Amino acid sequence: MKKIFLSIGLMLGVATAFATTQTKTTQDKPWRVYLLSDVQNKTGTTYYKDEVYENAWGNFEADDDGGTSENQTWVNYNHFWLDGIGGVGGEYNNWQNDYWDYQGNHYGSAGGMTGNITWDETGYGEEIGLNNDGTTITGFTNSRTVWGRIGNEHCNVSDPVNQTWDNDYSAWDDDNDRGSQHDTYTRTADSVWHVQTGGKSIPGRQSLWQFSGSASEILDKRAVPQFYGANMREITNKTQIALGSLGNLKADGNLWLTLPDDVEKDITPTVAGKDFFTFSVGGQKYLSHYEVFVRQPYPNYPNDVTWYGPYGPPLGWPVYNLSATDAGHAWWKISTEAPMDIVSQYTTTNCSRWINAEAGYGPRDGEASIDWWSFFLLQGFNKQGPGKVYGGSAGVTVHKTYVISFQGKGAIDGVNHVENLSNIPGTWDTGYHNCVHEVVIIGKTTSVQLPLSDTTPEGFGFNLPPDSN
Amino acid sequence: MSCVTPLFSQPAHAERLFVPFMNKESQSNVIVSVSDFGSGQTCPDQFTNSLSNTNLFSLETQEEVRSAFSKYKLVTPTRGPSGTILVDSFKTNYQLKIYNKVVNSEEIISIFQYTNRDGRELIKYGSGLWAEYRNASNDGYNFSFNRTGVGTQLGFGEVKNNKPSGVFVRFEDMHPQGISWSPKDADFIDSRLSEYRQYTNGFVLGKFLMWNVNNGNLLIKAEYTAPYDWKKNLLQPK
Repeated sequence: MKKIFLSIGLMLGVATAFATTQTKTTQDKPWRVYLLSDVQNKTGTTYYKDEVYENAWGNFEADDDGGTSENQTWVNYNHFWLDGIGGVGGEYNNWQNDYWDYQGNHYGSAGGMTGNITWDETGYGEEIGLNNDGTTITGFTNSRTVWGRIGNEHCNVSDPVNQTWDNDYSAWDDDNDRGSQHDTYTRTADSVWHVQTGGKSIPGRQSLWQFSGSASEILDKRAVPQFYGANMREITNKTQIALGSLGNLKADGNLWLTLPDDVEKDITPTVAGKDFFTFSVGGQKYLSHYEVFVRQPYPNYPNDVTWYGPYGPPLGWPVYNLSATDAGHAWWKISTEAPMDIVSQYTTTNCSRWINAEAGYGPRDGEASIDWWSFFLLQGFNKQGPGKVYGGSAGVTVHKTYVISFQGKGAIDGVNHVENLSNIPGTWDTGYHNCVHEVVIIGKTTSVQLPLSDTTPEGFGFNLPPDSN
Repeated sequence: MSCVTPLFSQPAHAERLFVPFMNKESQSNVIVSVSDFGSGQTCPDQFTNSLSNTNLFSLETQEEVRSAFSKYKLVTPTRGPSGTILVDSFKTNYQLKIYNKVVNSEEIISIFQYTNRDGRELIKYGSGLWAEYRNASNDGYNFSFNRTGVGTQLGFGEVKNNKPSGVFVRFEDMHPQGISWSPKDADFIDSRLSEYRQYTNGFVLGKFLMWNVNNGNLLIKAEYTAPYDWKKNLLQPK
């Protein structure tokens, strides 16, 4: 069963545990799609001044009840998170309120705090706040993990406010109201997602990948993670979403492509022309394999040399079971985890029929034979006949599995070769082109090097290298 | 399918037939009447490859073979046949160089003593199973399970004075077990007799028969008219 690991977007309003390690362990190195880093910086100031002043005229008398109030805030939040390392950040929240009555008496208050944030590599950590009065507070923002702070977003917004007013309320009072508001607000944020393709760093090995993603534009400039209640607009045209340098998603929201093993790529979604959006991205690696099957006439050879006692081994041992007329057989299967409709995009229907199908090569029924007596004793006495590609066989005694590329001397080249062989099977020949030879040839086509030191199934099965990844 | 269609028939003009894979020069006292290693030749009823064929097996031998099938299926290095106790057990390790590779092989040899009679079992356990049953006179039988591509091959040979004497037979169970193999999963209910030899005092003397277990045809039928050292004259692959 395959799993697609998705970073569930915060547009769902769900606090997602992004610390989940997304790995698959069937290769030398596991592959994973993961949050590499997250950087945020928000700076905001507000300055609000409002003055109630006497403006007695008409039916009203001045009552000297005016006054002036000023409110100011200074806010900064920043953090930097890096996968495997952890994160640091800081918060700064200060405020000041002043009020002067009509006699010039001043009343005021001020406060604030600064906080230092640290998170370990698991995302857990703490915030130590220092109040302006010298007291400390821990976790004053009620969030001790980084995950509640990360929005999977790109943000580059500025939202200044500059306004003044002068309202004449003298129609029913003697007090007028005038003032101004001057705010600054800038916020930048970037979450960066990467894929580590895993596997071995074998030149030319390319595995098939499926990526998917989504994005929603955030319409409220001052929204911050977790973006609860923020107005959003989904990017419904998926082709507008690019995943790093890999390219843009297709209309169905997927991007299929091959990537080399053991590399790292940026897959952060971007949307051209959008300054503030949240996103999700996921990926799935599809492994391909070259499987080799062998039926050996005597699978326990040579460990069975002492098991025949004074009677000696059976005639034909170890390469041929005379009574069962079994010289053994070698056959193959080129398999991939990729869906067949995707495989078909890389090759023809005829060729793709060989995917996930056991097949082998041999002489056409009744049209070739081998004098094993001579072959056994003389070594090299060959028989020939028209060849044919058959299905798999029964009685496997050796089964090896090798990870291969999808493209580039991999599964696709392999099935193309089998289709060609099926159409033009050539001459089957015990010495130069038998079932073992074809298993080796197709192995080479898929970059799997198999030994051809012995062309009997018995010896071939004995010499096969172990499974590889 | 097999990757080859074997053909072992010897030239029609040959004046006499030989047992293949055996030294030709050693076969002056061997009369080979059938030697057809293709699909074989139709087998006369008297040589039907069946354990119940009384032309080949006495009733006593039949019973002995049948009981051996079940007797050795469940033995382990520490658990012998029913009615025995373990008296000794040891491991042997040796190296084989085959196909330019060195293979390490390990066997466990256990000796079991019957508690109700003077008999013992020597059982080797490793890639296959080899068993020797002997009574106080060193009479008894040898027995083996060996893995093949088509399943399990059972060997049974009567012994007198610690030498092969009587019949030696092989059966194929035609029951492939896949990647892993175990004697306890051998299935001899429908097993087919594949080889039959008659021994006297350690030498082949008398009949030698082989059958194609797929169709029951005779592959070889030979009569050894003088004691014949089988192992000495068996040709091994180069």
